[in-house]
Amino acid sequence: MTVVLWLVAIALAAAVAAAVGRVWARLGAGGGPWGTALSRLQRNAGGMVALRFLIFVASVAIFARWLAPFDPNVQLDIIALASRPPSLAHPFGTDIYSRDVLSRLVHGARISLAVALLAVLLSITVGTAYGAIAGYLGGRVDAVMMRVIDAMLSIPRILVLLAIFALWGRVSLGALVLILGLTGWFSTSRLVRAQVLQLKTEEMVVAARALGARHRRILWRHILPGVTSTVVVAATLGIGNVIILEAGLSFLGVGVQAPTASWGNIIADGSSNVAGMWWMSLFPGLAIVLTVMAFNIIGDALRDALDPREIQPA
Amino acid sequence: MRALVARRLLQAAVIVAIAATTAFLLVQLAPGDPLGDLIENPRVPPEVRERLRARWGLDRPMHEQYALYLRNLARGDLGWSFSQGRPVGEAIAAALPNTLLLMSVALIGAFVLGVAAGVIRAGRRGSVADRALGAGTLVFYSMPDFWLAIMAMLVFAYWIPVFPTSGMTTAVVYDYLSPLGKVIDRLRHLVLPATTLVLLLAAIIARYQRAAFLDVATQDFVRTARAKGLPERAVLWRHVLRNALLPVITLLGLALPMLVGGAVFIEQVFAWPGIGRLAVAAIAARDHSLVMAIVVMGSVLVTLGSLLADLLYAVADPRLRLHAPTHA
Repeated sequence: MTVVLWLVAIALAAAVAAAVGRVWARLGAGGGPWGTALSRLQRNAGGMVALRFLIFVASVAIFARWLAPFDPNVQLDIIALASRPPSLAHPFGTDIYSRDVLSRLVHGARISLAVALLAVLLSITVGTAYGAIAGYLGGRVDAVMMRVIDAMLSIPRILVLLAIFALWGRVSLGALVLILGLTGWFSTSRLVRAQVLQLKTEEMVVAARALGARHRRILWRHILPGVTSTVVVAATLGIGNVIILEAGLSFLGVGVQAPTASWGNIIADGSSNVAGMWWMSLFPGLAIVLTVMAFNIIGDALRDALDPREIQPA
Repeated sequence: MRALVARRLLQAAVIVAIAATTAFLLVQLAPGDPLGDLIENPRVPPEVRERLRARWGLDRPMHEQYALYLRNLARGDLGWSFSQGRPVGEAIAAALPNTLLLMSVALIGAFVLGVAAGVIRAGRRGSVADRALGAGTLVFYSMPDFWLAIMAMLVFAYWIPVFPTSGMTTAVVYDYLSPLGKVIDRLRHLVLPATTLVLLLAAIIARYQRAAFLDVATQDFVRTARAKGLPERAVLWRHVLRNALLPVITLLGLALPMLVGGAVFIEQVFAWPGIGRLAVAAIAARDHSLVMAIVVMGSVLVTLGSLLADLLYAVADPRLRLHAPTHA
């Protein structure tokens, strides 16, 4: 029964991927700076493999409910099925509560990806706004705003996070996203500010100002579009980073709380007996590494594709 | 040069002050009482509660508490750790040398490995070596610190038991070892945590180093060097590498926060009695003063690192000595 469902799901995912690919190819053929960048990205073999892999992981996360062979939180048989190594019925083994690790991994993809995506979305938004304002206003305001960023960057992020969790104790998923997002925007704002400082002196901006454009219009129409590529690359690389960070926090027991599965806390569940239950750390860890690697490959590919100076070796 | 040092020192002081203020505000914003269970426990009589609050200055208005906090911090008084039953300073002083040992070994190893990998990749762009190192770099760059530590432990301590699983020394046995035996025992315990940290950090450094090398390699003076007929080897080693090493100095400042993060997880996995493990224990115990002190200390460490990097940069790059740097 589950096998049939798996096949249906895989076929469905493949169909979606094919449809997306069709649209994607047409987009790449279009002109303009984004079309050019896209067609360059499409010629990056590694980037395309990574992208397909991410589409697969995302579909697994979306269809987790139907793909997972068991309920991720149900203790199947605490006497007979606890701490079982991988077998046909449980390809990734079971944990000490006899829960199916594959099902937890599939559901964990949901949590790990969603937390990372939302947190990065938040930090990118805040970081871009802060950096754009500092860079655009310049002068003393900029100096003060950037000193604050220097100070924030001087505190290792993991220590800030640990401090927050020490003070607030266990937090909900929403709060986790907020905390990860609000501690991750400092370097983005620095990148954006540097870019804005440069763009501000461009002739098009001077011309817009001479024509009497308001600050808001200049920022939205002339400066922010120039920052987009920097931000897109930072966001892609940032997602990988946050996945690792969330896994680490969940591993320490302060991130995603039980019984909700995340890739990090599955590893934590097995960490009391690493040698005896190797499958508990190996498989979720591989899921993290492959997913983060895919985000990093795409981030690098995007950077190359979006950089107008980059000359592609034939 | 002296003006530069003075300016950067002042900047560093401001940065640490802002970081300390952030730590203070975090505690103020947090729910619950900084004394935690000592005060929230309903069995504690009200008089005792009041006395405790007065003892730690918690009954005073916020700005007075802030002034008190800054004054104590400036005098090096970090407060009392309830979970450790001793002054915070003492707990940190006991753990810090262990972390510094781990970090310095990792830093040196990672820089040597990272720079070498970066240069080999950039020097032979597109070769098999470049691709292989690129793949390796990417894998380690995408790996959670704690997972690599667990895998290293699983393989080299359990499956092929060549190294001890955890701690800094072998319990009990250590006291009966000869001086040389003690050194060997400590080294054996250092191998897995240090190697894990080296691999993770080297991957980051190699990424930067390759980019820096390629940046320099496309500049005009390199073309000139080639045009005047210098052998490729001389161009790469004498002209490109020398200039491409400059950004590596900046990396020293960047590497420290990452090292601190890595140390937290790796110390946790290998039960290494350092600051990272202390921090994790402090959260579990909700020991506010200890956590805050570790945060401030981490920021001091990182600020000092980037200060050192900036000054080294100025020494290495004469352009920065002549014109005061305008970058942040």
